[in-house]
Amino acid sequence: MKPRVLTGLALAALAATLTGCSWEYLIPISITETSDKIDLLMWVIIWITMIVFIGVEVVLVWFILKYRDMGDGRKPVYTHGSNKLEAIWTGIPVLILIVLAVWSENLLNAEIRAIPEKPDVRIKVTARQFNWNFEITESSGEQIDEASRPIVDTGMHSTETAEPDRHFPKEFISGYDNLTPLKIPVDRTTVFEITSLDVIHSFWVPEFRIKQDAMPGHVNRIWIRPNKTGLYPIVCAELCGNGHYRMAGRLEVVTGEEYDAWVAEQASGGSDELF
Amino acid sequence: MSDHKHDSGHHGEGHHEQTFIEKYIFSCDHKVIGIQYLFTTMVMVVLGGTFALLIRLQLAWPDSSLVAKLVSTPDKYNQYLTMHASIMIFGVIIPSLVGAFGNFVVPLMIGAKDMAFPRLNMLSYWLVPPAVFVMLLGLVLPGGTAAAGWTSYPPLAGAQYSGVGQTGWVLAVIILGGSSTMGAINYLATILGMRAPGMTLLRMPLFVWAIFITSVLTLFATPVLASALTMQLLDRAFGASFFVHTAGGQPLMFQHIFWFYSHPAVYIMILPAMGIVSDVLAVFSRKPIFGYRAMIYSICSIAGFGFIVWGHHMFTSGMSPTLSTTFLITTFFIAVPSAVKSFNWLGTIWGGSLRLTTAMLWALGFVGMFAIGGLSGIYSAAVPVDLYIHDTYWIVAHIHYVLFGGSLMGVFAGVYFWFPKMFGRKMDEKLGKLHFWLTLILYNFVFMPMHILGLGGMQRRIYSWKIYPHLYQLQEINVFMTVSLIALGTVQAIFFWNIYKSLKGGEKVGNNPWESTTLEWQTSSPPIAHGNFEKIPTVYRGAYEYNSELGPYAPQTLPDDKVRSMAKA
Ligand code: HEM
Ligand SMILES: [Cu+2]
Ligand SMILES: [Cu+2]
Repeated sequence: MKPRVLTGLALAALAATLTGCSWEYLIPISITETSDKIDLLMWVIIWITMIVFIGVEVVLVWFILKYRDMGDGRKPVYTHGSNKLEAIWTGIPVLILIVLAVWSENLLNAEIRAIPEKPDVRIKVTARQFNWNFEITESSGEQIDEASRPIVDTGMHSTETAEPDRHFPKEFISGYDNLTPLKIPVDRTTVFEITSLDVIHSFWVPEFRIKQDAMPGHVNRIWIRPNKTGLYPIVCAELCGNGHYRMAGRLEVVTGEEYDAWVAEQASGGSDELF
Repeated sequence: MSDHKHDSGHHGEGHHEQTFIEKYIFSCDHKVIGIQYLFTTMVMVVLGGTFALLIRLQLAWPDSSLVAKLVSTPDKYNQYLTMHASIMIFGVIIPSLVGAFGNFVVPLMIGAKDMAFPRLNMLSYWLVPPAVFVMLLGLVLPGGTAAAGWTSYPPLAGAQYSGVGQTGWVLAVIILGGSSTMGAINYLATILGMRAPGMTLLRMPLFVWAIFITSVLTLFATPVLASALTMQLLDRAFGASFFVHTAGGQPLMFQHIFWFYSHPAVYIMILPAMGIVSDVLAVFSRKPIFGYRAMIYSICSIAGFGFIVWGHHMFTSGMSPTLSTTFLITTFFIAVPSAVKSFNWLGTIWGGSLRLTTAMLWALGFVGMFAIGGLSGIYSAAVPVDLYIHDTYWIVAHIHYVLFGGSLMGVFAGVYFWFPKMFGRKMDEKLGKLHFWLTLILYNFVFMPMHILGLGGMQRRIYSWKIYPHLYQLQEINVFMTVSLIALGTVQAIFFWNIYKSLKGGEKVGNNPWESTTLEWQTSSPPIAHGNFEKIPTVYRGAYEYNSELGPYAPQTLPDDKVRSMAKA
């Protein structure tokens, strides 16, 4: 925890002095155990690269000051290099990078790629220009039959709608607030099965850390197990056309009971929830 | 180019009227072609910068009605960002490093009379302006120009989702690729076949090594890009379905083929700059380059690894886990040679007697800034972290630290360094230093905050961040960056003014104003039009003999005893 806070403060202080802005967070909060682990790896890399960065820049400036030609006729060192040094500065990066590579690979295998066979919730995510369609196909580990599947569609910005006028964004904010959130339960596993109907999109909830492309003709899977309730943004991260920037959705992580009630209500035909 | 008798401002077109076109337009002389490339890229960089400005204006003030006049729709925004990247990569970085300096410097450095295939060389250059024209033409067509990003992924870049501008883009990039490939063949033939007697491979300056290996990369990678683009063209224009999933095609295949070229291409964009920086650092440190062989091994291993890391651009695409593990490993390892090179640059200035000329400042700036870009690459190599930062402003920061802080600073170092050889006059050092410091500072103001935007969760290639409440806190940063960019752009006027002023009235210099050892400095400035050297020189030793027991510097073309007597005199 401590090093995170320190680096965070250092970076934030840098940013804040640069911009004079008020600072809420450096990185969006993390809402799954997997994303905590990703953050840890990231902070270790931040620390390593910060140290190397400062080391290189300090040595660079120090050498420039120390060895600049001051017209005193000092004779430069004549050397073609040193095999020992080459070995050291090849070997040390190799060692550090091996550690990082093994760590990354383990994290991938242990968490990110370990998609549960039997998740509590399974959601089919269908992207199209420029909205998301979420269909809950499995809940509490059981298949929901097609007719009563809860569907959330961020259908307010399909291609057919005319381009928003310039000042649209301001109104859109309320539009965003009015988007029907997709609800998922806290402390249960959810698998997203992601695909696209047209071009490539990318499904991303920054709080999950993980993003996954929506490829037409393919289904890509990710899984998560959120441990904090709350409302989070869903964004499209892959350039997908002129509405790419406004391909928004909302995700609400709710308690198990609230989720179960919501699914039951959806299944019984509360479908005018569509915005 | 030997026509420099006139001292001041009158336009000398009169006295070489009949030959002007032959001499300066359709010339086969590598020196003229190099300078043509250089001036072409200077025009391009202004163009590319203008597109950058439009993008940044929109990002700083997304609902200003003034900005709305310039960037009227999201589609225009996407066109501008596509043009910005395409012009900068294919029209500035590659043609300036490889086209301008490769052409002007390589034959001189190895003691050749010209390139191996002078006419082919002329053709390479003359393919560039029409290609850029075709690319930009779309801007005035009804459907607009390409808007799918410089990576041009189908289906977005396919017939169904894009207009004729995209076809123009594909054609343009195919033509530019053809130009690069011809250039690569030319450099390989020249470097392998036309070295002066005594110029063994291990006596070549590192810039020549860099162009040599860059050409190998170009030769193997660019035809693959051409194949990807040809397939895209067939899909677009002739109803083929290589990448059309509804007709059994594979959109993901395009990404594989594209990055099989484009990862090597990022090294095509940096190796020559590393070569320039190595040479400039040695000359102005008055020391041999530290670890000459280690540098060569690094260049070669970058080239080798460069072909097996392409998938690191596709970690979120859903490719198979085995593949992504492979790319994870290779990507971590490709960071090593860049680190080794950086340490050797520090080793080169260590214990030297640094002459802080403008060219040297740019080279030192390169070392400092490239380090940042190299380090930010590690974040992306760590796949779990990349799943977060991919397609965010973090990547935009990474690209710009390697390509602006790296490649472009290398170009600036090269311009200030070789200008006296090109035109027989020095550039103004005072203006040069002012240009360097202002650029260095403002550049960091523009690009350093991008790391914060990326970590803060701002996706790249978005027309407005106002949609998302979680991005509001980034507004001040975005404004700050745009204001800095306007200043950065303005400051470049100093550079262009310096070029203009120095061309006309810069301090005249002799053959070797920097007291350098390499061959290009051992002939007149500018070198004679036909054949470069009065007599093909003989090479006696490596490229970096400064302050050895022979004397302060030992030109490669002088035998030991001549160097000794030169040192005494
Ligand atoms: C130190 C070694 C380097 C490593 C480990 C590295 C790694 C990476 C990775 C993994 C990506 C993909 C990130 C993503 O999109 O998620 C990337 C992007 C990129 N890198 Fe590097 N890189 C390195 C050096 C360089 C150099 C030297 C250059 C060019 C001079 C460069 C230019 C680029 C560009 C242009 C992109 C973005 C492409 C795009 O999506 O538009 N990188 N780098
Ligand atoms: Cu999208
Ligand atoms: Cu790459």
